[in-house]
Amino acid sequence: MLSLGKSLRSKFPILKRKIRGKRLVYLDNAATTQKPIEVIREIENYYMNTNANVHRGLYKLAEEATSQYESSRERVAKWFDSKPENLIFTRGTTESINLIAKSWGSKYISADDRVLAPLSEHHSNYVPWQMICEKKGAEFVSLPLLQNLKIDRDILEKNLAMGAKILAFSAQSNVLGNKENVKEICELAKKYGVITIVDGAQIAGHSRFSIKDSGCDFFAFSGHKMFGPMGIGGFVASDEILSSMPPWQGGGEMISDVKRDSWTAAQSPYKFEAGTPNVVGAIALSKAVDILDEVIESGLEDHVLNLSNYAYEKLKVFENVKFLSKEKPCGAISFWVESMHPHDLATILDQDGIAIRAGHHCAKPLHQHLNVQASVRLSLHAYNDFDDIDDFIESLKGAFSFLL
Amino acid sequence: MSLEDLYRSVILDHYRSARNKGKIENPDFHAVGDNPACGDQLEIFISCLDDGTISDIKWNGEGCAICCATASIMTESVKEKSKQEILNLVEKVKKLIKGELDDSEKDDLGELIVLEGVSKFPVRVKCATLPWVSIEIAIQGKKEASTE
Repeated sequence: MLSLGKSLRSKFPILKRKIRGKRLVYLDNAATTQKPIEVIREIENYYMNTNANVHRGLYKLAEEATSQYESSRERVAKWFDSKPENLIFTRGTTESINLIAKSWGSKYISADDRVLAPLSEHHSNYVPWQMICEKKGAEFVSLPLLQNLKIDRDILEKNLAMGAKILAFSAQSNVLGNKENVKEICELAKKYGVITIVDGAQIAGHSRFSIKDSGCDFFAFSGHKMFGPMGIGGFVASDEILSSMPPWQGGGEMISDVKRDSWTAAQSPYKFEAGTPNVVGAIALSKAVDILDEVIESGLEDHVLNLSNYAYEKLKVFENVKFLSKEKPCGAISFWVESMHPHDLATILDQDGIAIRAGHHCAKPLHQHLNVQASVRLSLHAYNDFDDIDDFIESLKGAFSFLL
Repeated sequence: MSLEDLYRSVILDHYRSARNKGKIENPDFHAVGDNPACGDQLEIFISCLDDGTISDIKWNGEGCAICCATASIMTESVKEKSKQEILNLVEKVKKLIKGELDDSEKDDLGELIVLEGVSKFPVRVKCATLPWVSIEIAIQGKKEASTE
């Protein structure tokens, strides 16, 4: 068991950094998490001792690199309760969803089909679907939300019953922090034969997620939001679905044979991994998953909930602070301040070493729906503690007196 | 570098009580500027005299203190100028905001010199640039501008 909060910070070297002489207070974990020393060492170790291209060399280094890369696939697949051949490594959630839209979408979405996505989605699970619908002459349906900003199940069911090819939704919102019941929504979609794509970018960094239990067809995630390095992530889908999908990029690795005039594709996962993959990224991600496992086991969800409640109570005191979430937020807390722009707040907080996100957090349709131009978001993780919230609140008070 | 470099008292004053904010019915020039990174939008309305000099200018929109104050200061600085004079000024101020303007060129900037501090905050350069990009596009007769 690890002790979360302050005492975990020694594992994350960057948290020792001073920003303009002040302690770094990192509250932008929904954008990316900081990296534990073990993950950083794994990257260094790979390039110091193992570096070679995978799946082709017949020498010791290549053999080790391949074996470590494939063991990482096994580790990460197991983490999501899946099989290694069902896990495709990509650059992350965005690339995964684009791959699915371009490969599955190009083959199976036709004119007059409908693709559904709630308006609260991150642009990465929204724009790729708008793009493929535009290309195919299909209809992109932006689903309205309930008052509490969750998916309206009645409207969803009506839309599923009207016929749809795809339902794309997030397991956890990057703006509001609220979670959807993935299992129930996927069951509902299945009833109408609609394929589900779950954006797992946020949930994968905070909770255990069993793809098997959830019943979703596709699950996409980003390694860098789960203590892993940037540029590695992936998606998981069933044997049946993966074998029905064409490759999206051609090149080395993705073929089983190439003749002068023709080619045949390799089996999954290699069919979708043309070119040299991010080997070191996958290996470091596997280490990150080990640490995340331990952190979750040590009570990450309760820790984040406690901190969220603390921050919410402190923020609520300010009359001019308005929350985007209609429920008590958890994990990510987004708010705006009357007559004060989030960018001004972010700049002022930055002077005190406090890193928060200001803007629309890649969820413009949600902000438009709420009639909020931009918001401030603080998002929490294992190494955050009450002192981070206290420093944030103090700095915020300073910003108010400076600007108003 | 301090906050006061960015938020000079003149900027805070224009932010708290903006000048020339509003709309002009049937303007000679009109454009909408957009900063995709933050979602800020700014509208510029311009009326001209027969000789082409600016007789009235208004700006409208919501944005951060830097963007709004810059729009306010800008509208005060361009009245009674010709289109070419404004285009020259736009080039100069864009350089000033990025910290690329020679000291010898700063003498005639007047109040606009307060925008110099923005150059020390690279992530805020676009905020101060948006009004200038918007006015540039407006007087060139185009409709939409972007800081990207």
